[in-house]
Amino acid sequence: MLKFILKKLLLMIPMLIVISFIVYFGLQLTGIDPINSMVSPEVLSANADRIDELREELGLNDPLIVQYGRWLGGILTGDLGYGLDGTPIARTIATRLPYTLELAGYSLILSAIIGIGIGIISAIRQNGVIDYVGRVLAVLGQAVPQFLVGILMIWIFSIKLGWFPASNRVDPMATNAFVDAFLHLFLPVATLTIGMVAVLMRYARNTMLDVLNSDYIKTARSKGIPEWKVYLKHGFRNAMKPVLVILMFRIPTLIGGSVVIESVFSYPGIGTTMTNAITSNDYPVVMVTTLIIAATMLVCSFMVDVLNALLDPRVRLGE
Amino acid sequence: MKKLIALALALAMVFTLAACTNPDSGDSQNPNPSGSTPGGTSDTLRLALSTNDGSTTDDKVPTPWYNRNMATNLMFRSLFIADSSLSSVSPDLAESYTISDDGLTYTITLKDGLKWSDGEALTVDDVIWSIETAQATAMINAIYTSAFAKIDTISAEGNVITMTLTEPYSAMLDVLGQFAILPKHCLEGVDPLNLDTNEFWQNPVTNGYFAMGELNVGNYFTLVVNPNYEGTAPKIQKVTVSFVNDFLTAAQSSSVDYLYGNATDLVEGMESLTNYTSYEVEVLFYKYFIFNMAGTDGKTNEAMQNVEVRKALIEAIDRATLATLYPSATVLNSGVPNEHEAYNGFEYTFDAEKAKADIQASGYDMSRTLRICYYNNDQTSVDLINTIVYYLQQAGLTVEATLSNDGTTDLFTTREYDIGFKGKSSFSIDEWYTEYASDDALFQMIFNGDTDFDPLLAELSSATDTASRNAALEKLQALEQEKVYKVPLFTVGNYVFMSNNVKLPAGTEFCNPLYNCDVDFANWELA
Repeated sequence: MLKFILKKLLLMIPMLIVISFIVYFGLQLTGIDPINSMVSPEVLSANADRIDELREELGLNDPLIVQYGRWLGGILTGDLGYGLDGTPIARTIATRLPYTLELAGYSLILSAIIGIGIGIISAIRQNGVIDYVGRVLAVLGQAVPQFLVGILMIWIFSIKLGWFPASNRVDPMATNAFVDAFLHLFLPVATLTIGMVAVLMRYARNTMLDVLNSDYIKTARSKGIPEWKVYLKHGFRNAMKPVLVILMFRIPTLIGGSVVIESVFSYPGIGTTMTNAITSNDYPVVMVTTLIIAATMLVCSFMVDVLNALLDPRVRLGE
Repeated sequence: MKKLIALALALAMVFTLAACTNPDSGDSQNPNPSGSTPGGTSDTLRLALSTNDGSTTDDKVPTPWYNRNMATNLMFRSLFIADSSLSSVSPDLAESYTISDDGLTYTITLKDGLKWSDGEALTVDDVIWSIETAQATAMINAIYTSAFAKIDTISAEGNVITMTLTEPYSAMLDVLGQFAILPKHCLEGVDPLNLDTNEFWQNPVTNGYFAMGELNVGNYFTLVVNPNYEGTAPKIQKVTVSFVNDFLTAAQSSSVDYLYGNATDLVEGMESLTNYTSYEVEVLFYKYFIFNMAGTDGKTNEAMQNVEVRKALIEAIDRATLATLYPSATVLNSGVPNEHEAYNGFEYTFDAEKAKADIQASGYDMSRTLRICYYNNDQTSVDLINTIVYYLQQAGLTVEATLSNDGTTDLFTTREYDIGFKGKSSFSIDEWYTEYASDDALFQMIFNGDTDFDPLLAELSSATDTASRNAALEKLQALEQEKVYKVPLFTVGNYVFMSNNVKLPAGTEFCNPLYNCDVDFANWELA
């Protein structure tokens, strides 16, 4: 098992390097000159010598591969560099990432509870009201884009009903931090949760149905084991293994999905930072945030592999 | 099945309730008229800054040299303060001033006892340092660099600043009326090119009504009354400034008291909110075409060299119809508005058939693709460009429109286009014409550094009376209509929207919201 984990970990290194290479050179190909974003056009022409010095100081005259090496070296040593507005990117990430993790974390927990719960009940009460409603909502939840759900949420609960704020994470006039957090997180968390619940609900229902139709469940019933025990001890536990894998795979999707949701709700997380950086051509920030999202996906993928290997020895033996 | 129907009905009721709920009048007034979210108070003026155009970031206070708005206007003062026309000023930090008869020497006396919000004295050193530093700062409004480039010497004795110019500059006082004085003692060691990114902007020392309260990165900053403000203290004691993506949503959810804009969706959306009052503001927000001719780097666009081609292209476009896409647009024929006394009466006419014939007669290669470049990605701009493409296709042209992600680079450096579509919120008519200057950093790259406008621009900037100013403007109009390097479509009016929570003193007049003027803020009250 240790060999399997080490092998997977080592494989991540070249993958991260390839991703960083693609991210770096891909953004360089856009032809955006960072100096244009840092200095107004009038100043560009009036201070040509100083601008050349600045270009030299920033290393923009070096060959691209040298710039890439310097950037990658910085990342590896924990120096994420500076955004075009002069802010250390590490500080930006340190400020914004907790907001995104908070949003994604609550969504993950809520969607797991709701999605798995409804999925299991749907399977136990197959073709019942909850099953029908759950299936309809699952299809809707997957079919309707998250940004649309977000906009509808704002329209209904913020603009029309006035129950929740439409933007930001903290109210400048808040007196109770807990209430303020609840009010600001409710709509974005609900939006992210709806999409996630739909997936988990369908998956949990189908897996549970498969398990409930298996021979060992019939055997358990024939032994006279109480029905609740059959569901929980024999059915639920076995059905959850593949669902946990799916849940793990949804973590990067949650963080990636928050790019859109954070923009819709002006939520100050990593997603909004990335969107604003794209708008203002702040490509150092775009590079680092893209790399973080890619790295998260790789780490989650690694954890899924490990989890799979733990649950099913055939996986690691096959490797 | 009955349960299913009951559930469906319940859901339908929730949605209906949401769509119809209005605790007050049943119209589209927001259900949260007090604007206070839980825990909020009504003694606070709520402002918002939009971060969706990339010019404002949500991790610091915007720099007033580049980004004037209500928040920075409340924090930073200038030597003078303008009225709503922006072309008439009265002393603010200055006690008095005189200008020599030849318009070359300005003597400005600073008020006594001025202080920064941190208690340090505000002196003539701050003024001189600010003016000198501004000329080397990375991000700054062009009106300052244009004006300060005319300064020959600047010195001070006691509280008196003496400034001599290399040539008269009629708008100097107006520009000084916008120019915020910054604290030398906080910023003098900072490289001017990095000044706008300095940490100072996370907790700036101010000289206006308000001092910095708290910055919550990504969410808001607050302002508290500046204890060292030397004038009449404002009745409003606290201001919050939230960073938002969308002004309209902020207004619809009643989380902002003051906002502005001219986008069609914003204006139409605000019209439906009865808890806001709108104030139309006349501003010189030009929407215009530029032709990519040739740059001082030698790169020439042969297809646009013939002035007859350029004239025929404009003739093919119905600018009056395009203007209807905006809530308050006025068609223009030069940089001078049609109602201005200096307008020379020339009109670009729309005649599709004649345009078609003229383009063919001009020798333009009809088989080539005419390239349009634009950078505004709002829906109205996209609709406008699509309509322009349609008009030009009706004239028999093959047209390709490209939305640029980096307008400055694409319009003035890459230059892979024939017609560019631009917007410019102009401080004055003069600013429109300074784009023709042969040494203009950007436009020399598409107008080939043409020097024909230079003497007329010098005549305009040194004009000290209305007659000579109008004469210079008439000559400039004639030349721009002859050269057809750029063609104005229309100016777009702006709107200020004020929540009914705010009681304005009688006679309050708003100016271009991207600049500063006297709105008698000290007497604003909250209902």
